[in-house]
Amino acid sequence: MSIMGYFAAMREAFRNIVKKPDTIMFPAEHVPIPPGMRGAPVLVPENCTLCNRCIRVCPTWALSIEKIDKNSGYFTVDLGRCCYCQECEKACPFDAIHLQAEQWLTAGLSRDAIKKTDLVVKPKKEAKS
Amino acid sequence: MSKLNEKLVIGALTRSPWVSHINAGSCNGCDIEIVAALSPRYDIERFGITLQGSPRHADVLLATGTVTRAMAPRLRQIYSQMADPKFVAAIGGCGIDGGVYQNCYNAIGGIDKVVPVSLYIPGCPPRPEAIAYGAYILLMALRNPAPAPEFEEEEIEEEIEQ
Amino acid sequence: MAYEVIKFLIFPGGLFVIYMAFSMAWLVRKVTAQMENRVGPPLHQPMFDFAKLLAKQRMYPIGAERWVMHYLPMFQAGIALLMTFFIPIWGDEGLISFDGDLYFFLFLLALHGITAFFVGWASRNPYAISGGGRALMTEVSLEIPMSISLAGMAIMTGSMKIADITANIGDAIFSNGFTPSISWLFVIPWAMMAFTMFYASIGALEFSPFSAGHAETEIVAGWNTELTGGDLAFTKFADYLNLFNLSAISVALFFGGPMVFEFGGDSGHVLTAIIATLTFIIKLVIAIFIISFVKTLSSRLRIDQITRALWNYYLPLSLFGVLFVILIQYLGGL
Repeated sequence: MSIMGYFAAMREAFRNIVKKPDTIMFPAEHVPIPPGMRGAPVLVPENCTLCNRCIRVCPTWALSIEKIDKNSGYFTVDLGRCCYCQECEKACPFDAIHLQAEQWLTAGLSRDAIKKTDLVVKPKKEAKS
Repeated sequence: MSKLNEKLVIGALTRSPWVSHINAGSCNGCDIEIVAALSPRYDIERFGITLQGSPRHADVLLATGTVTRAMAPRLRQIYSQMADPKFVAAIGGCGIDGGVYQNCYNAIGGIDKVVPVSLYIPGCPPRPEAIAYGAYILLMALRNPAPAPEFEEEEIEEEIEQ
Repeated sequence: MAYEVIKFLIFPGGLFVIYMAFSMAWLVRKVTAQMENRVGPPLHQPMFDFAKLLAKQRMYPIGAERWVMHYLPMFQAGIALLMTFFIPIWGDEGLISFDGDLYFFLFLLALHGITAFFVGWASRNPYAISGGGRALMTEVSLEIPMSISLAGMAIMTGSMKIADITANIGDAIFSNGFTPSISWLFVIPWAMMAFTMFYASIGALEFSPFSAGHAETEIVAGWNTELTGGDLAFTKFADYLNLFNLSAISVALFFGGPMVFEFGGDSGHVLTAIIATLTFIIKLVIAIFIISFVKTLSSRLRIDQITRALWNYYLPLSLFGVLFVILIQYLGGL
């Protein structure tokens, strides 16, 4: 490190004492999340038809469906297994699953706390007229 | 008296949780995010969290990555070297369930198959705020205690022996 | 009698000093954080650390010398607390003051370095042994320039008593100006010796650039790798007290400690004591700022670089300082 570089570092250190720090005070304010950020996958139960396409493409078996009967079931997203690859969103033809940028506050004290289960009821087909 | 003592100890512990870090077979993504959480942008020293070199000094072990067969005895050794009270945080999807490495021939699985885990932070990798948020909910849970996580030791012993 | 006990337990010694030590340790961390453009720890953070460590479990490795690892940290804290009694805080005299106490102070400081080595040795860990060796090496290398520069101050003021040196230097700087006995030429050796003393005290505190004994990137945590719980708490406590001690002794010997411009009060008055204490604290905070500035801006040296720097540059600097002092006094006497 040259002498001039050392002086530059000294100047910066002195300036930083007076300046407001760059730190984001986390619980009160947040870093702006870029729009392309892949957060946790979130199901939209109204659009889901339990067609299993997302489960077929998921590389880490993070999604699962437990059927109750022919028209309804429990759709579970296990965040502990998800690798945030967006394959399910690409595979879904009904826009039923999204990787939301805002969903990054994900931490839990047990395995069950990071699993999200939604009840899905298929909309009844309207009779064609 | 003992109740006051306990309150004082928990107060001091939640104000200065020192962390130590172990990579149990991670791809280094989560380790980079831990370092990012300590950087000036997301300075978690505001909560009294400092990164310690020695696991003997630490209260919280930040374990990243799926546990490989070679790393499992070492992870257990490092956990046993920490002084009570001690907590383990599993960071990243691999640390929780194996992530993209699940069912590999050389991987045992998540961190909680080897040592008891009290905090799960999912993500691949988790954002630095997610780590800070995880630390926050762990401290909140310490102030209002809940039953300890269940842990069966016998099965894993056999699995490691194999 | 009761007055003496209160003096040792509460105000100039004991509680006051311990609180100051914790606050100064916090100040170092906070100023370092501010210079690195971040917020830093909340107020009283070292106290929470200390309380938490006291409550933690104590563990000893198999084959380690348990009693050495258990009692030496307490001994370190004890000698660090004893060192604080020599520092003039509210008048020009510390709680304990006798002729030659300057060198007793240095002896206690050397004792701290040796105990660090023995703690590392007793814990039977390769990292701790290597860290202890490095700490002892740094300590040996810096003791000599430090004691030579303090000898220069003793020759300059003609006394080996901390109280006399403080009073003379304080008079020269703040009230009388330069007298025939302390001429303006003394500024040159004074600056050389103050520089040596500041760098040597950074080394004794194991801050960067002389932090090879604690290098967490190569040897896990240096000589206190195997310490847990209360043992670690007492070594940390001794470190905090030493931070206070060394910055306070630099302030006392080179900047006149609690002495300030004369304001016409008599020396036994309460107001005088309060003003002297405030002056001392302000000077101490400035010294802490300088120490944390150097700590922030410098990177860690290797152990061979440390010894080379201390023996090749700082030792001659302090020797030249003493030589200047003797020369000026000799020429002044002609």
